[in-house]
Amino acid sequence: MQKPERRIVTVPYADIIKVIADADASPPVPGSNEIERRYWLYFERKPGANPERFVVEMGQDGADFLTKTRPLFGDRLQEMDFPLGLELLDFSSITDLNLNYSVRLRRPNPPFPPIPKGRALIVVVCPGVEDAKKQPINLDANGRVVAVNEAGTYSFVNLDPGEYTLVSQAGNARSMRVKLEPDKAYYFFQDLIEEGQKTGLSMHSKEVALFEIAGASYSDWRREKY
Amino acid sequence: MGSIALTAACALPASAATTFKDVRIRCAASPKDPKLTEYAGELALDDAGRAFTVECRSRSAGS
Repeated sequence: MQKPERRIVTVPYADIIKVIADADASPPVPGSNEIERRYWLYFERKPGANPERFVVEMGQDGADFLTKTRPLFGDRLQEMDFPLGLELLDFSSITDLNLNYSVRLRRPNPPFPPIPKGRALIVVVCPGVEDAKKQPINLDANGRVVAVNEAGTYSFVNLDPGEYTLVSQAGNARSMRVKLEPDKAYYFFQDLIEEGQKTGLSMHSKEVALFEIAGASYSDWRREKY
Repeated sequence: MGSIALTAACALPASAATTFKDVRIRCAASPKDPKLTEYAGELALDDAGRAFTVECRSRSAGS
């Protein structure tokens, strides 16, 4: 279907039930030491509003947006600050590469799993982007592939509590150190960079992740090469 | 027909005090289709603190 070229929607502050602001920081671009922050702003409106939910992704301006709207949203606004996903310059240590895996879409999506007692649930989403290259993108936890996605899919896995280095790998690799606690769920995006040629890795709130999952397909991934 | 789910809820504010350009907006393709569609666009806050506007542009509309 074709999208209309331009449309404007007015969102009264009074219609908004909840705003979640997820923030993280991208690695500095070459030649700069400046960390660039990114913001995902999730808006949930009163039932019947169209759309009831939407997400706005912003760069550095997100901080200014929040400064100006914080008094207007009051306690409807929750601000989340997540750790930085760092570019892994040398990923020769990753021996189990994405090209060893394939992704099939499972329909309908399976029910969302409960968290087994004493373990942690990891939910990984690769947001769909129009015209993005479809290729497997691995998520590696302490050296073991635990999830594989492509643009527009999600996966989940249970892990034991503890400290992990998570690595998202496609044409590049991004890593993040996390400490997983028992009986908790953690949500990550394998963000597509350069039209799906490369991967990012960012951590998110449950709301932003479930918003993406609602429009995504479950990844029934498997290993193809040994 | 277009698939965009965003529709105007009320009249635009008379003026926008602050505009945030180069944002990306993601929303369901329609109330019955949860598949997400992404738009380029901008946010504008009104002077009176009553509402903000979201302008969505498809890729063919340019920036």
